[in-house]
Amino acid sequence: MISVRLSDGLGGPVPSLSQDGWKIRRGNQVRAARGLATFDDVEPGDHVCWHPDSTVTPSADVLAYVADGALYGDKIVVLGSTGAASGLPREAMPSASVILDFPRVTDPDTIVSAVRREARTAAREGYRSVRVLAERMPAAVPGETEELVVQELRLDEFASESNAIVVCAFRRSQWDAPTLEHVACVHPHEMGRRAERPAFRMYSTGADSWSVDGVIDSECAQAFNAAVRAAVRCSPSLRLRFDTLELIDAAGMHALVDAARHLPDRRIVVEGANETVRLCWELAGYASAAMPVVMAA
Amino acid sequence: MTANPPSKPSSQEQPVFRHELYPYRGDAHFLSGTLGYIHEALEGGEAVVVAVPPDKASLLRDELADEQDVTFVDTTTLGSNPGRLVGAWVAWMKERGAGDRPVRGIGETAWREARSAAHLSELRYHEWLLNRAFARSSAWSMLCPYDDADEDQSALQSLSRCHPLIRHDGHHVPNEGYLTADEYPFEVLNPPCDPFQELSYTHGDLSAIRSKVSQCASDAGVPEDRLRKLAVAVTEIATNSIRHGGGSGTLRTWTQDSTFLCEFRDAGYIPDVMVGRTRPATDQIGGRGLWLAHQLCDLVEIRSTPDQGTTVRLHTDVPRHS
Repeated sequence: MISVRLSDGLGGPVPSLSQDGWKIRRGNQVRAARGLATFDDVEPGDHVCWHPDSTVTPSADVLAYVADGALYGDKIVVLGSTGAASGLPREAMPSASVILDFPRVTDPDTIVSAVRREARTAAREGYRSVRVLAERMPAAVPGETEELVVQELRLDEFASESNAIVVCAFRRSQWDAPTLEHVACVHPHEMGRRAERPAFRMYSTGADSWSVDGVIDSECAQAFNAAVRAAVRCSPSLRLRFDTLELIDAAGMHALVDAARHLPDRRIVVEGANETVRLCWELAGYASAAMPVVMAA
Repeated sequence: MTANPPSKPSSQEQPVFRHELYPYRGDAHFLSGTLGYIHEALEGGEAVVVAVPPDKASLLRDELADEQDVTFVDTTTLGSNPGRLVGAWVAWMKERGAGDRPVRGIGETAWREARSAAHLSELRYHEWLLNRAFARSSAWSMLCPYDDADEDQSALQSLSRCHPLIRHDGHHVPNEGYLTADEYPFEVLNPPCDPFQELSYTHGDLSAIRSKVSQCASDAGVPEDRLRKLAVAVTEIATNSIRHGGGSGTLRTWTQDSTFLCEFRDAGYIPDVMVGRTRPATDQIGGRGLWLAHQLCDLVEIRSTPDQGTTVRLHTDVPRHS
């Protein structure tokens, strides 16, 4: 059962001031991972992993994020229980905001479909886009991390395609470190002055196309495996862009192959890898016709 | 770190792999011994793979111009690291020995081109390892011509200890000086040159290790294209330390002559002397770390004992600038 609750209030949408101009700029830009010092740096299309400071309630950051939504004409959509992770008080929600408060164990497709539906509604209502705040709370059920990674990848696709902003709030004290590592790696952006950059980041660069940046070694191979497994679950055939991947070691290569073999009839084409990555792939014995992963030139 | 179990001959039984040292002096002597070996092979329906320096290959080609069953391979494409040679020989022999056809190899190392004492030592160790690598390969045999022109008896003796058979006048005889022990008597590693840099590491430090090595290697003059390869190699060796070597280790880096060195010490023990020497199978889980290190570095030295732990040194050549 989906629980969708509209906030009270009669405030109307703020007209988009620069929608066309933005689209032109986006057309010339390549989506790239980056760190954000504050919410002032958030841009349309961003998918941000944010660890709220547990000592400040409510967080000034989240209040600014919501207020900027009104300023730029973005409809606020809260995913989860308002304030559970972000500290955002219910009374601070702008009028016409939407709360999508699902049970904690819900199919990722259902959740992302609901967010997409809200985005379409917002567009019809004249908003520039939606500004999603995902209040992430652990459900403590088996397979939760895998489902969460799938959901994050789907939200990333959504942000990339629709120019929506998605901020996911994970309060560190509520999560175990491995799960936080897994989810951080599937956000192209992280927020905070002391935010730790994950070893690698995997993010959407088009339909069934994912870019991977950073370094994949034995310390993050499990997170990479989880990310690729989640991606192949959504699509039997996909592209991984390695243009900004510096290094992948033996554990990382094994993680990639293992993820591709996790489900039958999956195929992954890796493109844009540097010379050393391609050499290591061949040396490791994976340049074989029987492999479900192909290292393209 | 995992690999196939080592194939090692019992000291009680004659190894089925015939590994012969052939000391010679001069081109005529080289040709008489190698051609005799080749003709024996051809008469027996065996294929032959020849991996010798270019000048020697030229001599043999002149004599064997139309011989289809003799294949010349170019060892220069392998680079200088002797750690790549076992894998190369396995591939060459398999390729030529399709259908279980017996294959003979002729492999001569350009000993005088060895770049350092460490390189020379690893070349000798490779010759000893061939006996382990091919111990159960009854269909393969190998002749190792050795140019004894400078009459350096010490060098000849060191090398002959790695060969169970010696060839004289067209026949092989058992080598009484052959090292039949299970452990190879390595030369002691020289201490690092001053100044060296040191970093202790444990889980979570791979990024710090790469950063330290990249900075030191760059300062030493290692070219940009080699830095990436070195980064993979040091990641693999440090990962082995953390996963199999007691969870931690010590990294030292220094430059000696025109070589940049990274040394990793940990408390682990590598019992399999063949680990990293042969190409991993496609479906093999693990066992790729040392293989990659051998392929990406100019020399890899490994010393491992149960009581003293493991030391791995990765050598990267630094180009000399005129």
